[in-house]
Amino acid sequence: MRFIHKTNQYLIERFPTVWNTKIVWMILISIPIHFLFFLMGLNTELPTDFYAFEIKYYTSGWSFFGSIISTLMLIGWVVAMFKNNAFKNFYPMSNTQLFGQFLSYFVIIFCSISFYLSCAYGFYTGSQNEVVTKVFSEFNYTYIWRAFGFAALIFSFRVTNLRTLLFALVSLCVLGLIVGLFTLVYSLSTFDNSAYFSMYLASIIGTIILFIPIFMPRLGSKLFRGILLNMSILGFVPYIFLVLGIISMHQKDACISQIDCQGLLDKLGFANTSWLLLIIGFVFIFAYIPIIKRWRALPE
Amino acid sequence: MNRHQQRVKDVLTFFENKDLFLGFRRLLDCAMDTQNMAIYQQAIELTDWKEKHPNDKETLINRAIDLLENISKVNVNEPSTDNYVLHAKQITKKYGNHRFALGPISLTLRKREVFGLVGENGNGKTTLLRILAKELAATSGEINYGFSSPSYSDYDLKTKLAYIPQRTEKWYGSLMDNLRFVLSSYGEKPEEIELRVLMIVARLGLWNYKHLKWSELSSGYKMRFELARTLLRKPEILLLDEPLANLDILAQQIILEDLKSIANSVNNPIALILSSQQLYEVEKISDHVVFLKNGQYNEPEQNSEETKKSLILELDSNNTREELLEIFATLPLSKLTFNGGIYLLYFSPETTFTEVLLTLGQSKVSMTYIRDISASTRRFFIN
Repeated sequence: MRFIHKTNQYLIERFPTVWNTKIVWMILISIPIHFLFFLMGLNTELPTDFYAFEIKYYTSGWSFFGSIISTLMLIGWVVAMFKNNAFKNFYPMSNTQLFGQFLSYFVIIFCSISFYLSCAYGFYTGSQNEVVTKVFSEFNYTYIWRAFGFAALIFSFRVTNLRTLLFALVSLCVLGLIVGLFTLVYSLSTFDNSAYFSMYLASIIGTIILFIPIFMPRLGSKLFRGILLNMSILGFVPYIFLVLGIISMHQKDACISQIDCQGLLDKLGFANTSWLLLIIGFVFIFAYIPIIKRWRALPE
Repeated sequence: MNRHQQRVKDVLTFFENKDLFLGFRRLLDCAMDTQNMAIYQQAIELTDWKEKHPNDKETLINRAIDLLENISKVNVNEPSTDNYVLHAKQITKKYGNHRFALGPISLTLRKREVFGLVGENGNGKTTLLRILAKELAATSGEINYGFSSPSYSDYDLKTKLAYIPQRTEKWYGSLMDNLRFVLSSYGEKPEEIELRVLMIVARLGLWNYKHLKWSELSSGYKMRFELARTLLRKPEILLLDEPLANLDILAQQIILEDLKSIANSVNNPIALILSSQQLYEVEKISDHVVFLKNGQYNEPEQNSEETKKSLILELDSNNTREELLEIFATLPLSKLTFNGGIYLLYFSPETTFTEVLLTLGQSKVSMTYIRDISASTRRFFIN
């Protein structure tokens, strides 16, 4: 107890952001759990290949145990962290500090949800099966993206507020429906390729959403701008993916008669696209921080 | 004798006259002005001792005087207060179609000045404060801030605008951690944070409440903690919306005196603007009073010559109007109104308050209360 108190005191006096995000404690807690899952994977003897291992993982209690631990950790973390919010109170906060918060969320969430990976890694180390590597790395990305998405959600909530975030989520759903509906009407009325139509329509809407908070500082109320801001934070990576998709589709249409016809996404492959989008996502959040701060200081 | 020495001398007088309650709070003000951690340490130790020995007044006085001796030796930096902190020009705010309009209002706030904002409910006090605090956009007009360091962004500017709304948000987690978090966010030296937090807790009379939870505090103490948090931000301007709401009459006077004294700090003077319904209390400590009626700013000087010069008295009496008219027959009483609770007496300008008191004393009028409101904005409320 004394150690916890002293560490907290040390952190709060020197690194307010680190103290607030509780990253030190979350990593310290997750290390032994990851180690436990690693040992469990290492000692899994029965399965001969990765798929057998997966089945065993999900049918034994470990998967359930992992989910419970993840859920408890994340709830505990969110409750502890939400007690203080320097940004909301207009305490001084540099761009790097605010970005550091987002990065911390990502690391914390990734550490708290990826016990399966440690288990699989343990199994891989124990069996030295070569087929496993590829499958395993693909799993890695799903956890990374889950962590990124959840981190963006928490970040949105922390820099704006619950109401704005909920409106943003609802608006995203409504816009999705609208795009779907228009595409349906379009495909019924013409015989053209409706994929182009829907993707272009979505990208145009996305561009407008991104454009307003950055380039039109006086348009609309604070709530409206806050909704667009949240939609931008949550939707930028899918937007870039959409743009890459459009480029790919054009490329493929152009080379359809050739034998080795590949679009950009095919050329990049799953792993590279994932890494590229992840880097773009982080860079975007960092570059977007001045816009977030400007919104926060906006009078109503 | 500089300002710091003068303040120390005043405090010494309080202790010599055994005004311990007031004296101790002023002592802590002087201690805070030093910005000297050794002094902070001594002041905190004395506070702790005082709370543990509430009855040992003699020792407290001796120890306080010793501490004052040490405080007086410290050289206190006195920043200039010539420039304005806030200058608002012709601010207006319109809601909907002619439903409510505020202003135009112009005002200038300087450090060490207290600006009282009075008026009935729904007359735009909160709106004005929120506009000044950049919480709300004005329809027209312009606001300039003259802080000691430049602001590089709107967010940066907002970190310097200390605004406490009437309904403050709940605090979560330990109260002390919340206070430590402010100082550390403002980049205070790590080794000084604990002392500074304890010092502000001591100064605002929160020593015995510092380990409680937010939900265990009364609304008056919540206000004080909110004030502690805000003062740790070292604001140059402090905007308070109804800080006296929910406080009993004694607590109101204490907090107002505290605010006035804190705004008057030698080392960290503050421009203070507060809204309230407690007219007399606010008038007593304010350097300027703004009276808002239907969103309009009525400066006392702008009123008609007649009202300005008259002697206006508020009187609570069981006597009838006729009896009162008879009593004041010898005095130039120009108007007498009764609003059900109190009488309002308007005398011609040459009349003095003493004359009226003499007349009342000679008659057998039953009277519970009389007050000269000629210079008070109270008269706008009644009209």
